[in-house]
Amino acid sequence: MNADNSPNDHDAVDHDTVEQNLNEELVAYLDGELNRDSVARIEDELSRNEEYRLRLKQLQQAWDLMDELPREGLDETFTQSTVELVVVSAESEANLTMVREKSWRMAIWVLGLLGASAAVWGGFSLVNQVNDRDNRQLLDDLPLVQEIEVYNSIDSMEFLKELDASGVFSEESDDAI
Amino acid sequence: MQEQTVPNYEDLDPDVRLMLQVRDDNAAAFEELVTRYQGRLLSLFRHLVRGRDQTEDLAQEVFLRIYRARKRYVPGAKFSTWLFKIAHNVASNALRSASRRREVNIVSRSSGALPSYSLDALAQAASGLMPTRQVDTAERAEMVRLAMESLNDRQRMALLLSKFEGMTYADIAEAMDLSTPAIKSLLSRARGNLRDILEPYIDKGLLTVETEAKPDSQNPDETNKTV
Repeated sequence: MNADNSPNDHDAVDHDTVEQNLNEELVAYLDGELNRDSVARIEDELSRNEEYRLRLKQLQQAWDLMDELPREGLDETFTQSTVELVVVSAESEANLTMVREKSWRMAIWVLGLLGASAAVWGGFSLVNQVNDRDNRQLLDDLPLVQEIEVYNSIDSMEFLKELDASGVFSEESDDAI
Repeated sequence: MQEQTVPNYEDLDPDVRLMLQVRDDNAAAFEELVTRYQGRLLSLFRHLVRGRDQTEDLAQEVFLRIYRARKRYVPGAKFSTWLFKIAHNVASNALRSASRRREVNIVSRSSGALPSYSLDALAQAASGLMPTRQVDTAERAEMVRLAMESLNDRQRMALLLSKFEGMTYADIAEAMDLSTPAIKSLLSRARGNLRDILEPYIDKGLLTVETEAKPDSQNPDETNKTV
């Protein structure tokens, strides 16, 4: 805000506000948008104030001159072309919906196939892994299996444990591999 | 309790009933709405944008939007209010695009800028060597059109809805997404500007109008008075 505003500036602003308020009241009065009390107040002012009446008359004149503006009538061609446009739009809308539905169906199929493939591959991997584990155990036990008859002939379990502790079995196992 | 105060637009407005038929894919109902509103929309756009083609394009865009929105339509206002709300959006988009393009043939519509040269030139040409000669209908219409063009877009829209659609301030406010007091202020400035522009030509006798200043008392129901 400018602190150097002269009293004349303030007067001008006040005057504009008063003008604006006056115009608003008169226009609302002409438009029938005021309540009964406001209408009575405006009409009382109009009966006493010549300038008020003149302003009202000018506003009304400008309003009435708007009747001079050309208006458009009924145009069959426009109606027809608008309806056609909407029909075309509706058709393309329907086509778009159909294409979207097709795309969705296709996407669901592809996803289903991918899911099934993943399940098959996963199952295969799992079975493979289990089989590998069994085979590895067999491979580890191969030296023992090869010599099972010899070990069966040894009656002392303590002796076998001592052999195992001395690393004989693991050496044989390494040799076997 | 509030539900009792909401008007039942389906009962009150036959165009709402038509729109509900459009919602149910009734093509004849849609054609009837186009027939009922095309002239009003074309008139509105004619005073908002330049060019017959653009006027028709915008009107068709409004009908197209209505058709596309049919399945979501819920009667929450008079049909005309809803339609002119769409029209306002369509016009605003078009005017925004036009101002971005800054086409050289588009007349500047900045607020308050008076096309004094055009209007003066027209008035001078119309009066010729006989200052007292009254201008003819076409010339008068052109002068009023030029005066209207000098208003900004929002003032023009509000004025056209008020004048030619007879819409209340509340309905215009709804259509233009503004408050009712804002519309009161907007319309008062619009009519004040129009008066300022046309007054000199009325005073010179170039524009004559027979008028009797009185309030629009077509709707005396006091409950409708919101301002």
